[in-house]
Amino acid sequence: MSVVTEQKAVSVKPRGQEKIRFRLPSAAILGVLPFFAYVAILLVVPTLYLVVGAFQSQSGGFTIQNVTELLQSQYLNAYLTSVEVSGITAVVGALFGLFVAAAAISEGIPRWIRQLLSTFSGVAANFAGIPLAFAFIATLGLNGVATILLKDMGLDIYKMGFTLFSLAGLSITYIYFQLPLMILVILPTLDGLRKEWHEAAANLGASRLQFWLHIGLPILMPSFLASLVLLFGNAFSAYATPYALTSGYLNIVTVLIGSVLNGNVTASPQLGDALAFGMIVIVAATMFVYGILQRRAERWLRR
Amino acid sequence: MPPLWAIIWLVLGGLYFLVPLYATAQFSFETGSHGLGTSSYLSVLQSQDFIHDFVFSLELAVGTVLLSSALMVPTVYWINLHIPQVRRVVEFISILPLVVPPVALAVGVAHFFSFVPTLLTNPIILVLAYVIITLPFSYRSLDAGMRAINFKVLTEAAQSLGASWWRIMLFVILPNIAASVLASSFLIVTIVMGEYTFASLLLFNTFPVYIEYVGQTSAHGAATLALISFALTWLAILGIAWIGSRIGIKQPSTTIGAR
Amino acid sequence: MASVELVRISKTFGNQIALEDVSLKVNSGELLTLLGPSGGGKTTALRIIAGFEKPDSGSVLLDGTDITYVPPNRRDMAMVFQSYNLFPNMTAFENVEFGLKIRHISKSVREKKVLELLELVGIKDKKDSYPHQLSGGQQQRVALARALAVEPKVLLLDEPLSALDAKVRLQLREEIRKIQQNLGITTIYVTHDQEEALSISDKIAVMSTGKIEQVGTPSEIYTSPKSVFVADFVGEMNWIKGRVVDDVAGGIECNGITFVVPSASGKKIGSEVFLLVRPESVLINEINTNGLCAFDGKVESRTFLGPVTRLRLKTPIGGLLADVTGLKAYSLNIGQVVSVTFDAANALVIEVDKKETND
Repeated sequence: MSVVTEQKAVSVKPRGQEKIRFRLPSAAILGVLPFFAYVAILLVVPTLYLVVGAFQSQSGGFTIQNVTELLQSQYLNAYLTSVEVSGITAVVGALFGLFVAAAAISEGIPRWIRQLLSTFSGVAANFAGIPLAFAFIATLGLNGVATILLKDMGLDIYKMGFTLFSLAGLSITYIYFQLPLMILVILPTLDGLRKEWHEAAANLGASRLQFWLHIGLPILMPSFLASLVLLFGNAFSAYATPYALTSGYLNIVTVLIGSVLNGNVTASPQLGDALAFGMIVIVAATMFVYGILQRRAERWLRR
Repeated sequence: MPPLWAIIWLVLGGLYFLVPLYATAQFSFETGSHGLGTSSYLSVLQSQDFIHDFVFSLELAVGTVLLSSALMVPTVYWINLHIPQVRRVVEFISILPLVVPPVALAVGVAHFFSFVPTLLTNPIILVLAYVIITLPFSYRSLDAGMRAINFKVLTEAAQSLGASWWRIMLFVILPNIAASVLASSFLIVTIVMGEYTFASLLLFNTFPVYIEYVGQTSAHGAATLALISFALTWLAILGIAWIGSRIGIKQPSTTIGAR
Repeated sequence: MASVELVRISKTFGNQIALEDVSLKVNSGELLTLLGPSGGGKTTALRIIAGFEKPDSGSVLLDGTDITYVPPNRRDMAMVFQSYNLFPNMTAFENVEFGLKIRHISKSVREKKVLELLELVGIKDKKDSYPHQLSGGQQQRVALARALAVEPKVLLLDEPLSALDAKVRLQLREEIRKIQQNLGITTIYVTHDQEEALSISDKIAVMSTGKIEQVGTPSEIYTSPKSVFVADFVGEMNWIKGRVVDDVAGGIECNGITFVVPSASGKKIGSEVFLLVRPESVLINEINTNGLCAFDGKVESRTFLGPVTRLRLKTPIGGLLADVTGLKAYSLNIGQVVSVTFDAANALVIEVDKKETND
């Protein structure tokens, strides 16, 4: 009987050619498991549920009818109105914010103004929602303080066709949280822009205008665009302000979704899902563009 | 001498910010018969509904702070300490709530949890959701605070001096994190006290919901409440700024609320 | 090229005096370095020359013309900043081109000049790179080319090398000096690194707390410091405390040993003075000690510095630093007793009570 010694095929990796493995200490992963689980249950899954629901028919089968129904006039209108308000307030808010922020840090303005502006913007950005709506009703409503003041000065804006409960009115109200958001976001950027390059340019003989044309604006542009996009997303997601201000008068996507959820509007829950899905797609696209622009902006402003 | 354009823009900005506040204040002090008084404030503050809803919001805020801290502080610590590779993933996750607006989230949550109706009528669902809604800010604040204290270097220094893990956690890391946790908590309170969307869609009576309810019938009452809300936000932001100045760590700006 | 003059410049920031009655002249084609510790006022002086700050009183003259109130973009000077300040949205080429572009120089002329300059500073191959793609040293070269492109009357450099690695620093400072000499451009250089100042300057102005301590050539500053501050700041110095005992021949006595120091003649007998001797002037185990006063010293420590070895000696006149080179250094051990001398005739004398004042 021959004893067969088993020859184990031992593959010895030649030295130096061992692959560097990305080691994820399995025990350590347990530490962040609660976090991942929480987010999964309370954010990811409900969102997925919503997405699935958007493509579900009443009976449970797959359909794109809900989504196509979005293209019907009343729903499409809601999206368009939302986009319109968001776009307008983003542009106005961005420009207004840029100028105010730049003004606050220009030569000759005392430092405390910048600090005050920054703190106030922090508050104002959070003042959005229900209180803001009523603040503007108190200001520009039919019996608002500003309305009456203007009337006393001979300018009856309501007679001229203005009403707070319109696209214009809503936009003016939105600016109240768009403006401070822009200021908060653009101040650090403007800071990074301030002295250094300005001095170098002046030193080389450039006038103020030449500086802005060749250096200031090009450097600022990515940040400005990024902020613009951020403002758009911010306005698009708003619910409380338009709800309190317009509920019913204006067709805004967020308010519409709320109405569907509460059964105030006859529409299937699947349609509500579809509406929400459409919203998420738009906001996600916005955030994506923002991310790209922001990275571009940081690259130049990083030392 | 400051340039003229700067002065103009600052004045415009100032006017735009202050006029609505002034108008709200004026409205809040107007009594029904064109006089001025604090009757609106008195009636508001004594209203049972107000007290109930305000306290309810406060409770939700505290609950959110506790749950958020319990979830996020260990997570942020853990990630920084053991698995920084996961950072990018977690950062991405932390901004997901911004991509899913509260309205959409409400829809998703309402449908998903419709299997458990008792959960949807329990205030706990608000706390659970608010932790998600405040996630971008609590994560950024805590993470910034953790990294600002040069976490790794401090830990290694303490280790080289012979400190055990617990000592490091308690005496080196936690004291510095405490300020970030505090700032993040103020932020959460501000957001929760102003959150309307989720609460109203899930039919809860929180403070903002109450304001809206009052506003349906009394613009003056709503103005009063709006001003109170504004004052509270001021206090919270000042609190955050004060904490920030005390410890020298810059807190990320707050840019969300119930819009 | 042009001469620059500061006439009685004073500047205060809040309640901090940055410059106090400072006057200085830089001749055409000269490289003058403002040398001093941080906060001494040198950067402020430079910025006033450039026009970024306005003095509280006094004037700035360029070739005799008063330019104190001329805005910085019309002074015909160019500055190289400590943090390079390259425009991040432009390539190296475009950065250098900028000054020419806004002067409406034609494209072909511009291109030629820019390429010439990029070649001069040794960075032609990186002309299409953006600042964030360049190393610190490369960025500084671009900054230098950018400043030279506009053919300024005066070149200003504000601690241009302090953010760079030691090796790059050495290399660049030589190149800067070479370029400056070739172009013959009036240059004002600010640094706190005395070695840098000594190696590249035609003249050095040592500044401290807003005042000019001394102006002179590098060798003047080094071998004949006129004040305690300058003697202390520039290079290492041995301070030997003694008393004047002979006011005719200049005799100074310290712990029983008397040195003949001609520069001490005329000083009051009995007054306390410092005898200043450079470590490299302290001679160890020197064979030829004619006329030199010798005494014993014990080696307390040895520090190997590369080119020299620095010994700390315990001697009857106090602790002394001696720099010894090469072979001699290897043979000396700690605890060893050696013979110490120095040429007191060339030593400096400064009165003790002058310690807090200048010139």
